[in-house]
Amino acid sequence: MELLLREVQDSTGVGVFVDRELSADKISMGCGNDQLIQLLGVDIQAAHAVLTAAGGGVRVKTNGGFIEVNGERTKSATLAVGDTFKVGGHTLTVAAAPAGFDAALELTPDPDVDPAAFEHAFQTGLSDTWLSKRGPAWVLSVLILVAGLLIPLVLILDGNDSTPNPDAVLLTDAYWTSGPLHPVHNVAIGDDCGACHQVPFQKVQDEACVACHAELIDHYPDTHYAASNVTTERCAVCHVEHNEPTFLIVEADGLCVDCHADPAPLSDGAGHMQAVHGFNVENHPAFEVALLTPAATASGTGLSFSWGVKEALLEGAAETSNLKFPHDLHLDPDSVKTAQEGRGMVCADCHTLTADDEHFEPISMEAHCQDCHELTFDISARDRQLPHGQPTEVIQMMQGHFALQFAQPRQRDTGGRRIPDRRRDRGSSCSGTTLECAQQSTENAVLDQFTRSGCVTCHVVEDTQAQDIFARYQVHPIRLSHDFIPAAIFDHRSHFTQKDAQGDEACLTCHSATTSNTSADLMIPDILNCTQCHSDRNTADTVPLDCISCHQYHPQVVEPINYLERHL
Amino acid sequence: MFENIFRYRGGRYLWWSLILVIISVGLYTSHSAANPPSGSSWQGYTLGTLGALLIVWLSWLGVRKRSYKSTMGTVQGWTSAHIYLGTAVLIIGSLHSAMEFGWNVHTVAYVLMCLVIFSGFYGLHVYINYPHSLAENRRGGSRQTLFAELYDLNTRGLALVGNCSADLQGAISSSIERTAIGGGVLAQLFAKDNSLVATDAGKPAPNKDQQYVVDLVAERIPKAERAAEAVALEEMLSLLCRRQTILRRIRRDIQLEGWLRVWLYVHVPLTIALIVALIVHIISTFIYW
Repeated sequence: MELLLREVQDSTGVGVFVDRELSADKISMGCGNDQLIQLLGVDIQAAHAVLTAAGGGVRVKTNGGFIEVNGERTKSATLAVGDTFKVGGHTLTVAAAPAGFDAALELTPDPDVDPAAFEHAFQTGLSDTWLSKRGPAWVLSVLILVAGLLIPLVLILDGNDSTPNPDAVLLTDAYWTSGPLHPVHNVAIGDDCGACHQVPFQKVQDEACVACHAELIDHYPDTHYAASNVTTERCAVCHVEHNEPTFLIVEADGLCVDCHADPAPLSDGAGHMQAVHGFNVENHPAFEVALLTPAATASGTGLSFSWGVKEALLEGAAETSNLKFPHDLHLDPDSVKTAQEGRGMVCADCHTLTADDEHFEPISMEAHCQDCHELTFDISARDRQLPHGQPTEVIQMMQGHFALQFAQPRQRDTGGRRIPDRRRDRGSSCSGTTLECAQQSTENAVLDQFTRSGCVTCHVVEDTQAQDIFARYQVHPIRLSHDFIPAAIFDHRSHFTQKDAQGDEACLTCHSATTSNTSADLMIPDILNCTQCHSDRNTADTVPLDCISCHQYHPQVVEPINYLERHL
Repeated sequence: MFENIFRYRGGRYLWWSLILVIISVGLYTSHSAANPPSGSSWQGYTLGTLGALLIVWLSWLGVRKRSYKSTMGTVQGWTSAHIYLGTAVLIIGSLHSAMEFGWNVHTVAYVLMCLVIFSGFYGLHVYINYPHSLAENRRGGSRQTLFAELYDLNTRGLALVGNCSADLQGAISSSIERTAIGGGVLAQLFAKDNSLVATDAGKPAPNKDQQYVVDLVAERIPKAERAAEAVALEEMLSLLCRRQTILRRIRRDIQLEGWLRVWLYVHVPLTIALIVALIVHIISTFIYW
């Protein structure tokens, strides 16, 4: 439209008309400086209204604000010639359009525009712009709440999470993870949070763990302390997931000593548990050992032997294995040399570590002793060896041997050197029948073996004074302990190298074998030996030990003592 | 102002924060190889609880500073505490996280916390440096007085324009009417001047810093044919130059105010988002306990 705008300026007291010709489809009006008609005032928006031609008059339509027509506020109006409307304090009157114009307006500016409010004509603050605090706050909050909480929550409550959809990379409860799973669990479980977190807002229960780990032995059997109120901790107290870097076992001593500091409720009057606060001589109980206890009872014409297990304080404990064995003598190179190499013996000649790095292979006569300790009984027949561990057969072999000797006397001279000895002389001077001589030699040899040298060197032999030669000497069987401290684990291999000792020297650091002249010596070191290098604290001169460095929460067997008894 | 919020009551909150940080670092270092740092160790839970309570309390500043009737400490004291304790939260939150991050809601909360705190650092920077420039630019007045003077100059200019030749009238009056102040976000922050002036060519020409119209009038003065015209032109030039100065100050004022406040458009929405993320973080932690 073509509009003639006549502004009535009255600042000098004399009315002055300033005419402007405006040409546009829509004539914009407002306080903004881009408006065709700029009107200042606090009530006037930057783009307040637009004017369009309306049959000689004008049509006014605001952008949300108001104009005043005949004293009434309105958002739009169609005005004819002679009509007046107000925008803010400015008065506009529709005049008759001159030739060439669609409409004409006479503007009388507001004489009372507050100069200080002039700022309102412009966007002078960030709050006047599109910037908003509330909008982004809402958008972000709703986004986080919906994507981070509500959608995953709906999914798990619907049970859809139990079969995770690999394509559903967005909006899953995987966003709740506090860290990666241990690789083992990651392979087995993956993103199936519900495998462990079965009930919302409930800590992971043991049932979720034993669903897979059914074979694991609990800290103690349910029946053990059935009468007490003691319960084991939840698995997840010690086994924590989602760590970075990943680990599965919390090794804090507190987890153990929280219960074991006060043993009374744990023992329930039945055991003899002692308080444990840590690992040093003051706050750890003195070591106890499991000892094998032999018992001999009369049985028929001989003896019957059985074994029990008892716990005893290490200090003063003596092993009763029925073996006579002085370690000091065997480790003295001047006294004993190996049969094959002729060198002094070392620990490893007899003690071979098993695959668990803790225990040692059983010692046996055949594997460890017989190279040196031959079971000959007749110096003139050195190739004849007594059968080990079979006393009845020993005597039978002697009887047979000597019977043959005296039945075929020449044969006695064919084997080995002729060394004078009592038996030979006695045998040679025998004047009885072959059987009598053989019997006599057998009796002499039996006496030798069971009372002087031979069997009795290593074995405890009891003389029952029985008339029957087979029943007279009872050899007490030997049992060497497999594990003196079954409640603890110990890595021998890692101790083979110590700070200033290796090989036998390392063994002898803890086991005083070179001064042990009896097999009653346990040679198990006490706690003071351990605390020379170890402590429950991380100090500069010690290697720290946790409870689980030596003790297993989950025993490999139900009860260590029972285990020993089964292995008798 | 900044000295007061920093040294409020002898830097009371600085000491509070230092003590909190020392306790938190002590807690963190009490982790061991057997109980390594994590948000879910007892130390981690303690740090997390402390951090969450601090975040909620710090957010409360936004409420407190609008509660003019409140007698619960002064706004100045709250602001001082806000700055120091807010900085402490950065350390406490980081210790709680044990610097374990991933694509999860927990890290979202941490990142938001960092963004809030760093935007706060920027806010502190402008609060320290800009009020002085602002006061200097206003020459002891206010923005209202600047606009009042501008309006007065505009009114006088439009009145004086009748004394000028017809061709200048359109240019000068349009330059006054088409003066741009402020505008959009960028225009405010970078003091852009989109002022225009009507020209004979029909299309409005840029009138940045009012230089076009000032030059236009200045060029006319030597060419004035009558002494009265020269006087009128000189009076107009003087007015336009004064106007130019006031406009510069207004734009500078808008610019400084803009930078003083723009960080809040990051700080405040992210704070709200942080509180929501914190809620999601806590709830999701305990859903999958």
